[in-house]
Amino acid sequence: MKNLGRTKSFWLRAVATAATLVALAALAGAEAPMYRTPYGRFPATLISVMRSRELLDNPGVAGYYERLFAKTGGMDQNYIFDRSFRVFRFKPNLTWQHDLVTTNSFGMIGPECSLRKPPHTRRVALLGGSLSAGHMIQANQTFGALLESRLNTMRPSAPSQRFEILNFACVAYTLTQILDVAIEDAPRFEPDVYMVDVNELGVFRQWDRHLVQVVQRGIDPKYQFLREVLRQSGASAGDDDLTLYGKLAPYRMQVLRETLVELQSAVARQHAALIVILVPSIEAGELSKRRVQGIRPLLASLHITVVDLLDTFEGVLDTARLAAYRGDVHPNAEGNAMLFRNLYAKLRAQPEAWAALMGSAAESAGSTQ
Amino acid sequence: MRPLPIIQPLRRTDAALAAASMVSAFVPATPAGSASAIPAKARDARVFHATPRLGPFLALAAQLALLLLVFSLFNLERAGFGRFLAVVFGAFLVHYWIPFRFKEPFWVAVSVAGAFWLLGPPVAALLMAIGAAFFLTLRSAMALRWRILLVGAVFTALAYGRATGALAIPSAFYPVFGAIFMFRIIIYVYDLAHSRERARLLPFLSYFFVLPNYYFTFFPVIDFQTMRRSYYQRDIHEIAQQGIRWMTRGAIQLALYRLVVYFNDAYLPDLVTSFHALVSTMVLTYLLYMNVSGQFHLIVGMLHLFGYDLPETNRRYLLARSLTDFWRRVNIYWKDFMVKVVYFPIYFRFRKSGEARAQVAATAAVFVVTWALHLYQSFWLLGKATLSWPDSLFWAILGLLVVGNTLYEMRHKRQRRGAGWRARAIEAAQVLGTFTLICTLWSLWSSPSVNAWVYLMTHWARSHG
Repeated sequence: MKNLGRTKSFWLRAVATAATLVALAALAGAEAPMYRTPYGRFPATLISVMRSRELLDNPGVAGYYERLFAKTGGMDQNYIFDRSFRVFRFKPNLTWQHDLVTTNSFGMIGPECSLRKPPHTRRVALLGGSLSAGHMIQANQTFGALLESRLNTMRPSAPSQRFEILNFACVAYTLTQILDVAIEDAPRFEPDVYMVDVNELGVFRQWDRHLVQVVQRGIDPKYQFLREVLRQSGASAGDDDLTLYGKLAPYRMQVLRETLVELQSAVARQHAALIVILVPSIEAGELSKRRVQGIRPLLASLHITVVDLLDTFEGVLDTARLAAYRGDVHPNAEGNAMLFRNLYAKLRAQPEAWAALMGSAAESAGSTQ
Repeated sequence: MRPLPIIQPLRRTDAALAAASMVSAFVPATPAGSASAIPAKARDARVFHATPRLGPFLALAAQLALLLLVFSLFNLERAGFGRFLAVVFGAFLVHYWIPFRFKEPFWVAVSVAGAFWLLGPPVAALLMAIGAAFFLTLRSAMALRWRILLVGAVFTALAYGRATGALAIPSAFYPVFGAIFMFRIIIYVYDLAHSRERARLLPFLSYFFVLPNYYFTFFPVIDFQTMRRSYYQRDIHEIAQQGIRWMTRGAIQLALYRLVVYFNDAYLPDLVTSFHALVSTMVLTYLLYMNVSGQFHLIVGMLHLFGYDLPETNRRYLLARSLTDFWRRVNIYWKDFMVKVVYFPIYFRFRKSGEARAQVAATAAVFVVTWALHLYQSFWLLGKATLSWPDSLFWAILGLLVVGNTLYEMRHKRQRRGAGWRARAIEAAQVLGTFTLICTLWSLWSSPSVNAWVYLMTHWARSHG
C-alpha cells in the first residue's frame, strides 16, 4: 500500500514537472509570435531578456555575488601599458589573431595611412572604444570602414574628393581616454571631422574605469577638471577598485559634461567639425538604448551634433545572431553592416550632420589645395 | 529541551544521532568497500532502492530531455553549459542501469574525467595530485594534529601562490582548488577527527571531485556525513525526481534572475532620484541572490540523479518571518556547516555557564566566523580578500540582530501559530518587516563603501531638496 502511494506520488510529480518544463519551452517559443502582436512587444522583450546570455557577462549589476562571479580577462599582450594618462594603447603593427584586430604603424585600426592628409581628401577621425574598433571582425568590416567605402563610391560632395576614415578607436577606451586621443593623436593627422562614438561603456556604469586605473597607478589626471573631481571625491591610490567606483559614482554627469566640453573646444581649435554618434551594443531588450539615452539631454545642452544609432537593432528579436559570439555584446560583421546602413541613412537625413561630414564648399576647396 | 535558535531544524537529538552515525560516514557507500562496517540491512536497502524500473526510468529520461531543451532555449548559464549538462544527463542514463556496486566508482570516474575535460589537463592533474596528497596525509597513521598541520601547510603554500603568483601554477587552478577544498576540507577533517574510521578513497573522491564543481566554482558547502548518509537512502526514482524538480526550479530562478538584472540595471546611484527608485533598486539588489539559489538548486539536483539524497539548499527565504528564520532558510548548507563546526562546539563548551550565555556566544561566533570565511572565499575565488566596512557591518549587524532575536525567542516562548485573519496579518507583517530589513542590509552589503551606501540612500531626498 505504501509502495503504491509512493509510485503514485512519483508519477504525479513527474507529470507536474514535465508540464512545467513544457510550459517553459512554450514560453520561449512564444517570444517571436508575441513580439509581432500590438500588445505582445513588452512581454516578448521580457522573454528575450530571460533568454539572454549577454546579461551574465554584463557589467551592469553590482551585487556581492556578481563581484564574486565576475570574469577577469587578460589583454595585456596586445597593448602597450605605460604611465601615460591613457594607461594603455594598441601596439603598432599588431596582428591579434584571436580578436582579428590589426593595427598600422601608428597603432591605429586598419591599413597604413600617411601622417599628412593627401590632396583632395576629407579626413574623418573616428574615435571610440571596442564598438568602433571592431571586436572579432576584420578591420574592413567595421562600420567606419564601410562608411568610408560608401563615401568613396558615391563621392557625394565632389567627384574628385576622397574620404579617409582613420580609426583611432581602441578596445576598452572610455570618454576620458577618447578625449586624450582627440587632443594628442588625432590633430597630427589633420582631420576635418571628429566622429566620436559614445556608447554604454563610456557613459554608464563603467564610465570611470579609466579614472580608477589612473588613480590606482598614481598617474597624473592631466586635465584640470579631472584633478578637481578626483580631489573632491577623495579618491586615493590606496583605494581598491570597488571603493573608487563608489567614490566617483556621484561625479558621473559632471565628468561627462566637462569631458564633452573639453572635447568640443579641442575640436574647435582644430577648425574641425564634431559629430557624436550614439552606438548601441548587442544587449537584451532595450538595455543598451536605456544606458546611453540618458546622455542625450547633456549633448543637446552643449549643441553637439548627434547621430543616434540606438535604434539600429530595434525590431530584431534574436539579437544574439548579430553578436561577435554568443553572449558577447559586440556586433559582428552583420551587426556592423546594420550600424553602417543606419549611420549613412541618418547622416543623409540630418542636414547639419551631413554638412559637418561633407564640409562647406569653401572648406572643400581649401582641402583640395 | 528548548530548540537551539539558529539551528531550528536540527535539534539536539538529531545532533546526537548525527554523531552516532559519524562512524558510518567514513566507509564507502558501496557494499564491496567495507562490508563489515555497513549493516547488511542498510546495504540491502540501498541495493533495493537502486533497483531499476523501465517505466519510471523513461519518465525521468523524458524530463531530462525536456530540461535540456529548456536550458538550451533559455541559453541558461554560460557557454558550454549545454554540453556539460548533456554529459551529466548522459552519465545518469548509464549510471542508472549499472549494478549498485559499480555506481559510485562510475560516478567518480566520470567526475575525474570531467575534470580533465572541463579544466584542461594541467589544472586537472594538479588538482588530482593535491587531492591525492591530502588523502594520503589524512589517511596516514600520524597523529591527527600533524595531519592537519600538513594539510594546512599545503594550503598556506598555495595561498602564498594565489596572493603573489610566485608559484609556477596556472592561475586557473586556484579558484577551482578553492571551490573544491576551501570549506569541504574543514568539514571532512572535522568528521575525520570525530570518527574512529580511517579516511577511505571512494568517499573522499566522491565528496571532493564532484563533476558540477568544475563548472560551478561557487558551490554549496555539502556536508560529508550527510552526503554519505543520504546515499540511496530512498528509492532512486523519488530521489532523482526530486532532483529534476529542483533543477527545474533552478532553471526558473536563473531565468528570473536575468529579469532582475535587467530592471536593476537602470539604477546607477546618481540615477536613484526618487523614493520609488530607491525601493526598487534595494529590492532588486536582494533578488540578485536568485542566481545563487538557482545555481545551488541545479547542483544539488544533479547530485540527486546519482543517488545522493541531499537536502534543499535554500527554502523560501523571501518569506522569512524573522532574521533568525532568514538565516535558517537562505543558505541551509552554510547554516548547517556553521552549526557543526562553530555553533555546537561553542554552545556545548559554554552551556554549563548558562543556556543564554551559551547561545549568545555560539551565535556571535557563527557570525564572526561567517564574516571571516567570506573573506577567505573571496581570496580563493578572486585572488584578493579586501576588508571592507560594508561587509564587516553587514555581518556585524546581522549577527547582533540574530543574537537579539535569539534572546527574545528565549524569553518569549514561541506560541503556536493561529489560524485566524489576525494571526495571518501578524505573520504577513513579520514577513514584510524581515524582507525590508534584509533588503536594507543587503543594499549595504552590495555597496562599494559605507559612503556610497549613504549616497544611495539619501540621493533621492537631496535631488528633491
